[in-house]
Amino acid sequence: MSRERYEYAASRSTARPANQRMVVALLVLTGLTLLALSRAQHPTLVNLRLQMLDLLRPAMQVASQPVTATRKLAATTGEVLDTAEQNRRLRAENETLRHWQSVAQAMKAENDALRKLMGYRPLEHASYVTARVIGQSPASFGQSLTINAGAAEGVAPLQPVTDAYGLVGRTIEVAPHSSRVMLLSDAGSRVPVVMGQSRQRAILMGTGEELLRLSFLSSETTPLKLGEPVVTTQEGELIPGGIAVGSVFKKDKAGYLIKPMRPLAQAEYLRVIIRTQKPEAPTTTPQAPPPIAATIPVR
Amino acid sequence: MNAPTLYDRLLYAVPALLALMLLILSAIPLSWQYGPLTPHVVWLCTLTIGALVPASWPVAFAFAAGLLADMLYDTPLGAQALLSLFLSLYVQHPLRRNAHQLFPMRWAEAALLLMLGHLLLWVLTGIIFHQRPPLRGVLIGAGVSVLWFPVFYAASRQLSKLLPARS
Repeated sequence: MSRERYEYAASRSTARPANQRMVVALLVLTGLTLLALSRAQHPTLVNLRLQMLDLLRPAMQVASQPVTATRKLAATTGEVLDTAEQNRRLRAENETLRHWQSVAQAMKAENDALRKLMGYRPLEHASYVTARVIGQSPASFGQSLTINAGAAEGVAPLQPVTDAYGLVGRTIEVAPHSSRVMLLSDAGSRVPVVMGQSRQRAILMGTGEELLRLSFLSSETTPLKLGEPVVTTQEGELIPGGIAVGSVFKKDKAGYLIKPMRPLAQAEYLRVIIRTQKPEAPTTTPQAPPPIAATIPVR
Repeated sequence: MNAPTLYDRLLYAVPALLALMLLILSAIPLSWQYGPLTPHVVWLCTLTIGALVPASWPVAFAFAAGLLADMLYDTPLGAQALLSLFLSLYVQHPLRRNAHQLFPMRWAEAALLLMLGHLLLWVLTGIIFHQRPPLRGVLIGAGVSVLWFPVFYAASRQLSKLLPARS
């Protein structure tokens, strides 16, 4: 008798009302439809995601303020405590940079003269949009950042994004006032690069972790030097050539691992390189971009 | 029991709103070394608020929160939503709700569910985006969420005590 009562009670308590079952069925159907559309990269779904990204931008901007303020406070405190040592280091660095500035100026003049002589036409001009990082996906699933600049500021999908040190990634989704940047470390990231010294070409692949992997090296037999710089190449014309990416860090069974210039998700401000059409007439060497701190927008 | 008043309903919305704020906070940029310490807010809330204060965490809300997490975390749209929905259905199942469970049992159960959820999300991401993030990172993410469980559980328990009783 007691067993029957238990079974009766159990059957009563597990039964969901019909309307609730209907809601659950509807939600499951919606979820499956969204998954199917995600797989097909349906434009409606991409637009929906972008609109939501723009909608969440103010909330994310507000939420990121305390973190930014804390970071700045910690950095300022550290700098104040370290002023004397930093001053000494900067003086030494300044002297080295002055030397290199004079070398660079001489080389630029020579380069300009040679380009004029050859009638060289640069592929294109570039302008820059500097934006603040307002969002970051957790490290375990996909590595992306959200920045507060979008189509209204001239950003378009697949544009290269740099920080003060070098290439960080590329824009993948662009909303009117915000964009998502896929970091070089994302498992789906592929960027053509060239070695700074041996000039070997390769494809730089994200591993989902901090280090990046080189694949399709143009010459598998010639070994690379550890510490050799890696820069972007113009191949594919998606990314301008010569942007620093990192350096050869170590070699394992699967190949070479590259260490980025600094941890990719650390930048507070990023710069999107916006490429324009080919110039009409031969021009001189493009000017170096202004320092990233000088182009921070007031937003 | 009387029908809940508007005041009751607003009170019950508080945990959900707090969870949404936490979700947005979990997506703000942290430095590289602290990034992996971010827990999976939606699933933790589903496992704690959903189990202890079910009125604040209806299954439809779990689905919507999962959808928002999909957009913020750049995972396939619908993946976390569906997994949150199934998780919510499981924790709110009347048989499970009526079962008396000690905290260590709840924690062990949450660890299994979080691990399973992360693995399923990893598989779904692989199928839909044609690329799988490294499994090690995913397992670390699940482990971090498991470690955060007691904090979420304690907070949800306090919230459930503050809120008026409701069947």
